[in-house]
Amino acid sequence: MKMKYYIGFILLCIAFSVDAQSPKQIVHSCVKKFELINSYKAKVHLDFDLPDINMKSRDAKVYYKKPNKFKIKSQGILFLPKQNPYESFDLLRDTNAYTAVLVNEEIVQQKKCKIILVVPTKQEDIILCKLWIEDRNQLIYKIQLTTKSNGTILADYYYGSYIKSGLPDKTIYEIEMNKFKIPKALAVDLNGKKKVKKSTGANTGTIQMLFTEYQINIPVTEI
Amino acid sequence: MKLITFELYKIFSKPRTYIAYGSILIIIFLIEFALKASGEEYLDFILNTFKDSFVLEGNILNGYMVSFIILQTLIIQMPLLVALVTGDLISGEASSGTIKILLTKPNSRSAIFFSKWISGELYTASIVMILGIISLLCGVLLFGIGDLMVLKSDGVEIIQSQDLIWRFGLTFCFAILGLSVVATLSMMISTYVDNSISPIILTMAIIILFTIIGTMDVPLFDFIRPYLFTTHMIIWKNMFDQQLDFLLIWKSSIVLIIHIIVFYWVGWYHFKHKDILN
Repeated sequence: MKMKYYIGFILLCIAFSVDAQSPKQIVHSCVKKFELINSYKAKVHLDFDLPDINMKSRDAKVYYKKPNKFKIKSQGILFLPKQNPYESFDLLRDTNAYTAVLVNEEIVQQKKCKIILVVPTKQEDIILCKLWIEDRNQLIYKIQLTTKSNGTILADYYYGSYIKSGLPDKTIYEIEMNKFKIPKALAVDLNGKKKVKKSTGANTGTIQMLFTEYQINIPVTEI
Repeated sequence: MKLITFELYKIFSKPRTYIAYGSILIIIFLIEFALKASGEEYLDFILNTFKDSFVLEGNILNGYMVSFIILQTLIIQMPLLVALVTGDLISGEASSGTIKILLTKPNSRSAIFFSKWISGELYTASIVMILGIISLLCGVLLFGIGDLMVLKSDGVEIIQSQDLIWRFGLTFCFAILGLSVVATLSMMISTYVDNSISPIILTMAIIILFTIIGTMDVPLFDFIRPYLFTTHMIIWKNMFDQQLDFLLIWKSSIVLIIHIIVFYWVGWYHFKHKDILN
């Protein structure tokens, strides 16, 4: 009986100690988990829903090399988010480079996630990084990155087959876009009445990336 | 067939015929050279708004895009190059007096008119084909291949490279059809006058007038616009829409064919009854 109480007490202590993790520790544990990946190659299928841009889906190949080299290669034209998805990891890697604040909790993709605000302490291009982290699996489910040069980008990560490696099966980027306008003389529709797909409401576009056939920790020479 | 060969021989023995080929080649080489030298700056200027939010991957300035730019630039000048030759087919004979000799031969006036028209059409097709083949060939050799980015005033369309050859093919066929209207119109005018310059100037004046009516956003012109051949001549640009509007393409093709038939008939009727003695 005494033993039972003892085990219960220990478990309670562990539970509290987990819960008591500081926001910085939560962020760092995600980074550490991802640090196990030195490189990867994968196939990616891209779907675009961008105002003022009419284009079909594309298949491409994606390459990653530690610490932050990331490249998507395709035979055709691709519109890719200006922010490299691993750009924020540069900041998050150094725990002295930012201040982390736990602001709330939210259910994202049926997972209870902690919302952590990361504010760089030094002068960086990144102004603010908002992370939705499920600390049990040390996974980032959502990132909102606000930068000086490129505005705000929101990325949703969906995990599946490669959850153990912390690699998403699907990523959806939501990007703020400027209104596209070029002089009529440079365009082909001097007296055209047809319009390219227009934006509805705010000028934001989405790019969906579906990753398959990951090859993890293999030599990547393509980048 | 003999008459057509004879007419083709006459066309290709005139120096003015080679003005079209020469100017097309010069323009193609000039544009390709200019884009090779400073095409990236041109693209940067156009795609500046996208570059704030995106990284653009892929060979944007490729042979297909260069050919598209050339086509877009040259298609405006093409009617002049066509009218330069086809406007002279009958009036040239009248001004030099050879029409009398020609019509004393045993061939019917209808056969002579038809052979002149078909020769004019072959010449028209040849300049479009030369434009298409040379611009595509040089473009692909100099800039490689890739998707085509079609720039519109309110956005862009990306057409995948595997979809481009047949679209270019359709475009050239449609350009031939459109320019055939110009060729037939100038030939029709050519039957009414006895000098070479008037049909060329009149044809160009009509095209300019119709283009202005088609471009101006005045409600009064909305009614006239669908009946102008210049409105339908530029439908080739729709070949580079992601979703092809086949109904519109068919409609425009039919309108252009009707124009050719009407201009041909008017020209033929006047030529048939033309008094060559005065």
